[in-house]
Amino acid sequence: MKPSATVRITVTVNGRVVDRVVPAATTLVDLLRSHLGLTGTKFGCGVGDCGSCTVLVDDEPALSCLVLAAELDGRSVTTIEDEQDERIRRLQQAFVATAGLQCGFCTPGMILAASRLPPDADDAAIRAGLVGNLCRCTGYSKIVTAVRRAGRRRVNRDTKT
Amino acid sequence: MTTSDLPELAYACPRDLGEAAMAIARPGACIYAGGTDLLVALTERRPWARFVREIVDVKRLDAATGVQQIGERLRIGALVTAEELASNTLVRREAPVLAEAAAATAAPTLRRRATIGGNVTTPHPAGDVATALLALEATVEVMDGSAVRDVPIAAFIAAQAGTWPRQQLIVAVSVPTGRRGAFEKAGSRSSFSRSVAAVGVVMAEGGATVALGGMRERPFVSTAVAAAIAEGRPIGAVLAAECRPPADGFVSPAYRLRLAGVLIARALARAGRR
Repeated sequence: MKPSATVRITVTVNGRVVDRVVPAATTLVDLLRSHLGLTGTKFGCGVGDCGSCTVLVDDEPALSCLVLAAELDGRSVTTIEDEQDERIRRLQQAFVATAGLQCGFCTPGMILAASRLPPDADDAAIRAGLVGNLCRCTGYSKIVTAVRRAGRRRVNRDTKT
Repeated sequence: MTTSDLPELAYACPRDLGEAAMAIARPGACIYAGGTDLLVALTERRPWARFVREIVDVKRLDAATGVQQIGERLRIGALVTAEELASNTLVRREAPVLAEAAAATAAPTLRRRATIGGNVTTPHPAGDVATALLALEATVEVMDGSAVRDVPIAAFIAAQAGTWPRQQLIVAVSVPTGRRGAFEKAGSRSSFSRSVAAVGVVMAEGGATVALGGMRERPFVSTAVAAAIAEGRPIGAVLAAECRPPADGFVSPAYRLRLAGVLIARALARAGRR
């Protein structure tokens, strides 16, 4: 086993298989933004304090500034650009309807972090789930409302079918 | 700045402890597990991170995974995350002080990455998980050359002072089962905040073991505080003699000492009720 300066990875990004050779010290946020042009994921603090770069890795929220692309071979990544993910889309609509955003910089991270909360999460659980996502505009109330409403729509739909 | 822009580095991903031992022995090699310390240091260009030439990703080491009960101890793989510690049934039942500490740490995304091995290794004054492990008088399985050696956690943490600790590979941590205990912390806000002070208390036959975080350069066990508690003496003066609480723009040493006293009382009360 030898160390290498570049790493070849095959990653499924938003359902599309991507094959790339990247410098070994490439973070996931750099892979998404600089190599793949997916700039919906925001680079905020770069050190895990703000949550703006939150994406899903294997369907779980992860900070893309604190994950290396090299370790993602064979795994899947979901970003705000994923048009097939129902939970992300429903949250986007709820954020717009509730005015859960102002400048919008934190919104992709908020939505991705919220997307895997249980649909019936109460306000306390929503706040606990989003504690690592900072917003400097809204004061959070409308964000929590948006997440609660999106969840309720999902519960309603699930009970109907 | 819109990218992490890490320096040029090599990457290795050993598949077993032998390969890992060889990789870590290379100059400039640095262990990489959850990355919540290393990638931050590299991104911020911290002084020590300038010496990193190679990232050794240890996440494929099966020997460092899982939680098992072996007799009267729990063996917890070094790669077990704070999230797993907080939710694992065995840890919650057999070592509640550790489950509580893990649950009180950081935010969900960080808890899913941060490992127990990393929390012990990272030289932070108030590692919550490290504080709980000190209260449990845990044992650390450390790679020493190609062999694995058991080291008491207090000795492991003390031996790191002044060294570059990230080349020491922890394989697992082991804690005694069935110990009543409790963890208390206070940060600058109610969650997602580094501990201003942290307290882990574990009840044993002779009295309580008291570990303190945030009160010295690294978390430590205070036998003097435990003795004062056992004898029913007030602990204020003992705490002041035992601690070297740092001051910053928000917290004075006196405030930190007072806070530690309050947290000790709370932890003892909860641990005693269990």
